[in-house]
Amino acid sequence: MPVVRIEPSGFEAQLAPGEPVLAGLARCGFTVRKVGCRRGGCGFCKIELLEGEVTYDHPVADSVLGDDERGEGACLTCRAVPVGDITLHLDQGDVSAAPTGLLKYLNTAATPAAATSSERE
Amino acid sequence: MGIMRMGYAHVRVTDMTEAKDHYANTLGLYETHTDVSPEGNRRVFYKGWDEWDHHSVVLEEGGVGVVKYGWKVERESDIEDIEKKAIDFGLSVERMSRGENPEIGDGIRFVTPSEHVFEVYHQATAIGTEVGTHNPEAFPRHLIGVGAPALDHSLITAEDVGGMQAMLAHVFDFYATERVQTSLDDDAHVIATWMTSTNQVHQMAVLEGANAKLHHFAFRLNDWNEVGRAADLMAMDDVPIDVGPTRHGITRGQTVYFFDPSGNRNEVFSGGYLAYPDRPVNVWTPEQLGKGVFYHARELNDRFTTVVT
Repeated sequence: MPVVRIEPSGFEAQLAPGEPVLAGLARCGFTVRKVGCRRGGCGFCKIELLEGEVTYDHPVADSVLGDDERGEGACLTCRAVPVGDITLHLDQGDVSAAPTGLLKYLNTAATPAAATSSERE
Repeated sequence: MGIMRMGYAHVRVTDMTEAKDHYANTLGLYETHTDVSPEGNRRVFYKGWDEWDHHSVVLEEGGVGVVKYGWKVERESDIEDIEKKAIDFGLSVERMSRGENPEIGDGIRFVTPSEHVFEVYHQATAIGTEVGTHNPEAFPRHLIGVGAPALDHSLITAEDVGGMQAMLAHVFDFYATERVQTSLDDDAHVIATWMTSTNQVHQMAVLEGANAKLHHFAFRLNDWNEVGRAADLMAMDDVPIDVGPTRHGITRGQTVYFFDPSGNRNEVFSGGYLAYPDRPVNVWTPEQLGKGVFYHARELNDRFTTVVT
């Protein structure tokens, strides 16, 4: 159950095994504003991976994410699946504050047991 | 009459298995051919149920974005006519031979000022619509998913929209139906243009942005209800919807924008008024651009204007 930590806000989200970063953050109630095609084609959701490792379970075009970028820690969040815990840099303006309203019921970071009940994403 | 329509859109996909599921099972296109390109990439060819030519969509495995567009002319002699106009405009034109594209005849090929590849042809193998021509039924009884009848138009991005508008007018005899420009002044900067050669409200639109990029290619539907039903099917099939269902101020068409499994943007489009060359051009200026693009929300988002493949 990888934990995604977002800097500098310090938000954390507990992802389901095999879950892509962007879908997992949305499922946990975070509104991420860097969302493009959601299918790895446009590069709009590319952000910096500060710590940890991600893999890609779909082919991603070199024009979207080149080998050099992968080596330099770029993370195409819509297709990236964490290998263990990771830390990402996401500007404060590009992510909502900690989930409020109904969204707070979605944040499973603090209650890992609840994550398995919402793996539909 | 020269160009009759956009005959085919040839695009790249990263994963052919997922792409085939999207175009065949969600959009309901008919697979007509499959092969391997000279470069060794898998290709799959499709047509909509109400199209008679061999294909209108080509998927090629490897990468994302648009490979090229095919434009079908009414007469064989139109090809030479367009070739002359293209050379006159300053483009380098090459001849293409029958079979370079499966089931497509001789023609010409050139790269536009926006760095998109255009092919012009007259002959395509006729397959026929799915309802035929003799006492035809209104639609095929067992359509799959959206059941899109036909390819409709495409929007590409270009660094110099004015230059592309001039090229489409000079070489293809296209005229603009709608335009976005910085002001109503004669020397205003052109931000986007919607162009056609027929009564179809647009066959190709050009938006300011990077060269050689695809914003979307669209399939035709009949009305609002079909657009809404298409969106329902996208929800069922976990297709990421970009925008809609909504209406465009520009063209008045009804729309859903969505992404294929490789991230290429698609649209289903219905309505729009009948275009005529003598109809005065609708002009939009930036302060109402949100309404022009999304008539209901009246707000542009950066994703819509900057996400391209």
